[in-house]
Amino acid sequence: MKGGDQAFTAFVDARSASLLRFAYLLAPEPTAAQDLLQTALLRTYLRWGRVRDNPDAYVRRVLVTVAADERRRPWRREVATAQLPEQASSNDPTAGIDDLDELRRALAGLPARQRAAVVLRYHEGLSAAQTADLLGCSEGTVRSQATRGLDKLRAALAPDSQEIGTGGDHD
Amino acid sequence: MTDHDLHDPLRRLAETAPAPAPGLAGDIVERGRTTRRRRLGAVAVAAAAAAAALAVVVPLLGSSGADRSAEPSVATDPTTPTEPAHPPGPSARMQVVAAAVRAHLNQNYPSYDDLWVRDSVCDRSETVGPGPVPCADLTEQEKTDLERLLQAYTIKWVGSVREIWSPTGQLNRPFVKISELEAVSTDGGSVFVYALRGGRDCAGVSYQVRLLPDGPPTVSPGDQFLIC
Repeated sequence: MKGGDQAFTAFVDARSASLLRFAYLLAPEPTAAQDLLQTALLRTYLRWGRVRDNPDAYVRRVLVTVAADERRRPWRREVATAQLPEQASSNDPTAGIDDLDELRRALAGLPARQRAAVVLRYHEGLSAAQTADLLGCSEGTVRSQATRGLDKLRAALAPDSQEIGTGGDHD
Repeated sequence: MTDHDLHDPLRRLAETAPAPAPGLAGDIVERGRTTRRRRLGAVAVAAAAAAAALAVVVPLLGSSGADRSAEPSVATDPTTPTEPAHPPGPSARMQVVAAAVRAHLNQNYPSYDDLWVRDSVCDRSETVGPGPVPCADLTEQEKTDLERLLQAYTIKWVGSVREIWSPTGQLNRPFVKISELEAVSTDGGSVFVYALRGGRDCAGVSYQVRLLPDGPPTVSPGDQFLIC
């Protein structure tokens, strides 16, 4: 095995679990996470010579991009509902987030960019600047995407909420 | 809901992700190698196609009028016949033809731009020795390439094969020594010389020359003609 392959293999062995968790949050459905990660890793392997200094960031960027691409396909387009998401209430809807399936559905209902912004900011703990760099947009866009995503999650997780979209797989 | 409120649920949700598939790294490496091989194969095919194209185009590009002085000359080295060991293939033949045309034009038509190429001789399908091939073998691509070459001299392609003559009948250089004459025919007082062999740069090109009024009725290898 060549040195580059060895380094790549070591990287995947060390980081794949964490990356898969990230992909799991980004993926429109749980079963897509593995495919998402494999696609991102394959792209990383093919560019290993250029990205080996910071492969983790590269994989995450590819994951975001691929997830957005997947969700951009016509059959995955967002289906609008007749009813707008409810405005935030004074009650904290996360207080009772014990149903992770509900959270997953709510996440899946977000457009890809909002979803990525929410995950990067509130799960990965990246700053707005770091998130903007990874998403390839401005910090202002990151903030607005994250805020909108948060608002939609809040609405979706409210006790009497409506589904944001149908099928949990929209963009 | 704040970001802090969301972090812990997201973390718990992420932890429900399945473990990576065993052998994931090895699978990716294998897929990556396959992808690279395919890409390299595609590049190789493209490169081969480009090289094949260049093999034809480069000699033709090298025939521009600005480079005429560097071209080999029939008359300056007329005594060194070249005998191709095998009949050249289409692209090699085109190079020979192009070189011969350039040599002839450089030597004899340096100031003329009103030359024409037509096929009256070679359509007779004479075989003109071991090197040159019957003129009618030119492919459409070869004709196009040769026409492109000849356009550098403002020469028109008329027919399928090569015959060069000056409509005015005036040539700057009076003598061309034919070192090896492989086929000759006459046509109304003109002599059509095939396969002028003037060293490395002449094969299969027919030149229309006119005999002097007192010239020989036929020509032989080594004969000299006054081109008028």
